[in-house]
Amino acid sequence: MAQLNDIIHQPVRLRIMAILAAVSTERQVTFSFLKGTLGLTDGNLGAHLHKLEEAGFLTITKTFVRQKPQTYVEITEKGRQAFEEHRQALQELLGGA
Amino acid sequence: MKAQVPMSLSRDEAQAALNDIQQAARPARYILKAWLISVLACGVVWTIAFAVAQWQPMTPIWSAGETILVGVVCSFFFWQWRTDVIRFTPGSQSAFLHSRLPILYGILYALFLLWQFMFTLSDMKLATLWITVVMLAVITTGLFMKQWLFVALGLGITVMTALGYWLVPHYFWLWIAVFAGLPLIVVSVYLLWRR
Repeated sequence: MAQLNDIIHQPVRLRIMAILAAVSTERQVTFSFLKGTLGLTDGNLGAHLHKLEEAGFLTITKTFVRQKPQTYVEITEKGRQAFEEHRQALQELLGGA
Repeated sequence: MKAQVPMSLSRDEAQAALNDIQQAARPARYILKAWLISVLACGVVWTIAFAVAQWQPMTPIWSAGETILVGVVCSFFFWQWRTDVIRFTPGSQSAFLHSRLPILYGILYALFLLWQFMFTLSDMKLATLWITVVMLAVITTGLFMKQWLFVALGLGITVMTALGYWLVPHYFWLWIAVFAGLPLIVVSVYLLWRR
């Protein structure tokens, strides 16, 4: 039986993971895209991303694009599996496993 | 890090979380699908141009030119916008393929232009060549990206165009409007609207 993940279950982190998991493998989304989509401040989003990064669920890459700093976020395989298990646990709660 | 299923999590809360997941994932899916707009634009140009050519004798080359223009303009704005949102993981296989595919397209279109100038082709032959060149690019992309729908689409349009050339030469333009232009519209609209 799949288990809920207490790190992912937090509402903002759940939405972050949902976005990252929806993106195909070998793709990274920008920090600004996540910020705009989720309607969060830099600090708030940064804190949640840091927490997920600490758990090994995502990686954060800072680089320069057209002479401007750009931060990219990518879900890890561990994160994808944890998110899928969490989603499955939610479905099991509804009896739809 | 895992916790047991909290007893306090009700079915409503689980449903709300699943709804959140569904809703949050939507913008990411739209980004992944954005390139389909260029396929749609190409389909519209082909359908109109080829259908008109059935009754208005004219060289179909302008539709090839239009398609290249649409492709270049769409690609330019798409890549500009896309780099602000998403990119391929540097060093990954996907990044490698996406950096090589435009080179392949460039070579294919250059060959098309070369053959067009080297050989005196009738309008029908020119249109057939143009469609098969573009479909070769579609099939190659589909194979690289493991998008089997596009492989099938490319093969299907190529076969139908060849059949139209040999079997219904008098209605060739109408035939390719229906069997080369419309499928691009149908497939891109279907994929854009599919959840």
